[in-house]
Amino acid sequence: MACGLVGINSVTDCVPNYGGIVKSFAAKLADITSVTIASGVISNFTMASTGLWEEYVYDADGTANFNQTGGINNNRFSVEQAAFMKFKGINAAYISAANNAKDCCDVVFIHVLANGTRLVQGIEALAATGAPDRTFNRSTRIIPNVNTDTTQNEARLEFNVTGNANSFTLTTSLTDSAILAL
Amino acid sequence: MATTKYIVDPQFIAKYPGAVTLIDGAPVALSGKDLTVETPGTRENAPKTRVIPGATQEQLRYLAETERNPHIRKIEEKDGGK
Repeated sequence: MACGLVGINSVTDCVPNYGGIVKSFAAKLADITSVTIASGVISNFTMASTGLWEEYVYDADGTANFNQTGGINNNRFSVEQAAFMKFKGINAAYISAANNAKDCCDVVFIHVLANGTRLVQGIEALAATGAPDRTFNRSTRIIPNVNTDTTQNEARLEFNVTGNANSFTLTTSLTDSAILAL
Repeated sequence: MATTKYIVDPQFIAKYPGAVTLIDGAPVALSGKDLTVETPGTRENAPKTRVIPGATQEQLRYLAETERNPHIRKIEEKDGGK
């Protein structure tokens, strides 16, 4: 991406912008055959088949987040991308989900922010429509934890979704219903 | 006289016969044939069937010309040897 500076003014009003993520959708990178880019935003996906996006609704306890931390080594920029979400309880279905998730080598998550913005983790930013590439520096994978914790706390399944890319994530204009219709 | 036609890359559709994408927020099947999707029932939800319509020529044209979808080809077809 070419060098450019765009002014930002964040002090125009007192309205807070709530952090965190409220839900996510996930698919395997291999199941996305093409990504449509319109004005720098993902406006469509072409999928290998239907029903390949899964919805994740996690505990609404203020712990889910998706953080992108930039780093630089001389002129080499990279960005660590890490999402965290947790699901209360431990049962056979959760353990099966965790075991299946850990084996996926490249995943794509759409994280829905509290302000409605949707960030697409797991593919390198594309300038034009085409087949998506995995995050360049390290594949995006799910690292599950299954924790009983102790009696004063909750047993839970946790997903850490991490990868390392060359650019910050793209956004998508697709709605929940459009994603699930695919 | 030639007619312009839009087709899905034959290699792509052979590999992914169930490929789908969105047009105006609704799914279409790139094969051009209706795709019937059966979702088994669960304890909370009854089983359901939905039909994803096959993409029309106009929709393939939109995908190729507007979205630049890499799986769609524009071809010129001669009219019946006239």
